[in-house]
Amino acid sequence: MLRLCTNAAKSLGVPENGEVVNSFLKSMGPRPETLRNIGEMVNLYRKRAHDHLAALVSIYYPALFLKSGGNEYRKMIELTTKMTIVGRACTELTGHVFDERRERIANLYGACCFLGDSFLDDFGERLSREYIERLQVLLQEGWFEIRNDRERLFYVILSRLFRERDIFEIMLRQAIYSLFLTQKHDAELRLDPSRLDGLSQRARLTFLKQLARDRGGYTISALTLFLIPHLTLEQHRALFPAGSLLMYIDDHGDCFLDLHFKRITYMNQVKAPARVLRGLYEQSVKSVCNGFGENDGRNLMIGFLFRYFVTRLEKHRIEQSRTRSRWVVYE
Amino acid sequence: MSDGGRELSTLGDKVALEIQAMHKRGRLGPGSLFGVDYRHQGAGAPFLFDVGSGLLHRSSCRSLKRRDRSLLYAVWTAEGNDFSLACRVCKPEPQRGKRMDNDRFSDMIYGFASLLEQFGSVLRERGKEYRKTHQGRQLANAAQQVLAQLDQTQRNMLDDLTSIIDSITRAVSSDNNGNNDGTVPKGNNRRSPRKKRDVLSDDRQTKGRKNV
Repeated sequence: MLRLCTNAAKSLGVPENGEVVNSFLKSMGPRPETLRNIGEMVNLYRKRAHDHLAALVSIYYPALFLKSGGNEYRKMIELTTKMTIVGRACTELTGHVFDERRERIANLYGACCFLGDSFLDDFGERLSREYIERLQVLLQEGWFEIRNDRERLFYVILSRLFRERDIFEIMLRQAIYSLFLTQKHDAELRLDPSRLDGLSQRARLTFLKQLARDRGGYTISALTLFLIPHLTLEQHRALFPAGSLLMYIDDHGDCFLDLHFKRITYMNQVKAPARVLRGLYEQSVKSVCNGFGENDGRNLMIGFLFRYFVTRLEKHRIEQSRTRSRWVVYE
Repeated sequence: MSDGGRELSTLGDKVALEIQAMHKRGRLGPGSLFGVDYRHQGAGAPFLFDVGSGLLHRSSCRSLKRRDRSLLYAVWTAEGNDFSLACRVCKPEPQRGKRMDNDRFSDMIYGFASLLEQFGSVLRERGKEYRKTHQGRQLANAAQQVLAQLDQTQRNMLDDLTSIIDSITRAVSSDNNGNNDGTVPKGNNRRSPRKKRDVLSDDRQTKGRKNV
């Protein structure tokens, strides 16, 4: 972790000096013991996510274990582990206990996001457009025509998730549908980047920034509303930027992969992305601190955001040195 | 998860998949199963919450014309603390008499659930109405086929599954009474006596509720 922090400091232009790096770390907010705990938590939740999801994959889509040499399944587990830790932080931030059922919900949510995103990203333009339409029908009418095992697994996971909480709850259903709409806009932009033609550079950046903000923000809102029964408006506002930050961080980590596939994001278009990301990090941490009293959930959220921030700065640095993008699984 | 919980989940999967398969075969008619899209109903909400700025607006607030509408949530019942986030332009205040739109999509779920004959009184009453319709009769035949494929263990597990749908009913019933906070109004949370057997003790029923 120390090496990652030192590298992160370097990416942000902080001089390579032990004291300066320590001071940088202190200014970023996480507690050293929280960072240590998160390391253990990642290992624990990864194993449990595997135990939970492997059973489902075995029944409904065993071929996933072999896709891309097992990398695809591992990637699903890593995303699920991330969602589980973020879910725990959100649950504890709002004063609830992260019990076995909530862990299961977070697992389902992570797997659902992974499979849902893959439908939009990984199967070509025609299928991507079809999936957008079919997902819209699913969310508007409840019907989903299952065409293969991957879709069967997705639908089973989604139906399990929907059985865990009342999806007619007003805020939850709005978060779910808003998340879908923002993913739809994102996918449409990928399919037709000319939509940005004619906009000034500033307007393009604003548009892209808002898109990432909404994708991440609604992801964390929906996750939290699946986990707990009620979120006050103030809590809602305070959490939203943390979700947005996770998306900005993701996009920075995927910068070169996205460019390789000609995907335009705010983080691969903005100048000095690492410094911009640091500013976004500080805003998000401030929002969490202002919105919630100090508790384990708040420490976990800040610790995880920091860890994710430095690991993705490192990923960006490593990917930059590759000659071409390769699909690598990152924790 | 316990073995029972796993079986229950697998049974729930089976039911969910079978509903889609029957729809594909044209056995469930053209109606909707459920809908998450709330934009139509949300248009009547008295307040809009801008999750970006953290401000609560009247839905008619003129300052919203300049705002990014992707960040707005429809809010029906704002609580006392929420008004500390009030927009200074429109100055929203607590309102009485505004009710959430009932969910037209949930009828089919009510109908399907009622056919399994294990549900609370509210559900059963609404289900009866649905069963009288042509679509309801189609669904009844389809549901009988699903049930016929289940063995006794699975049928017992179905009792547990009904508690999941029951909690949705309680929440929807709560919505119908003007709450959107997931709480259950007094008098609407009573489960009807089971015909076959009580799978869940009272204690488990409490723990098993979704809104905790």
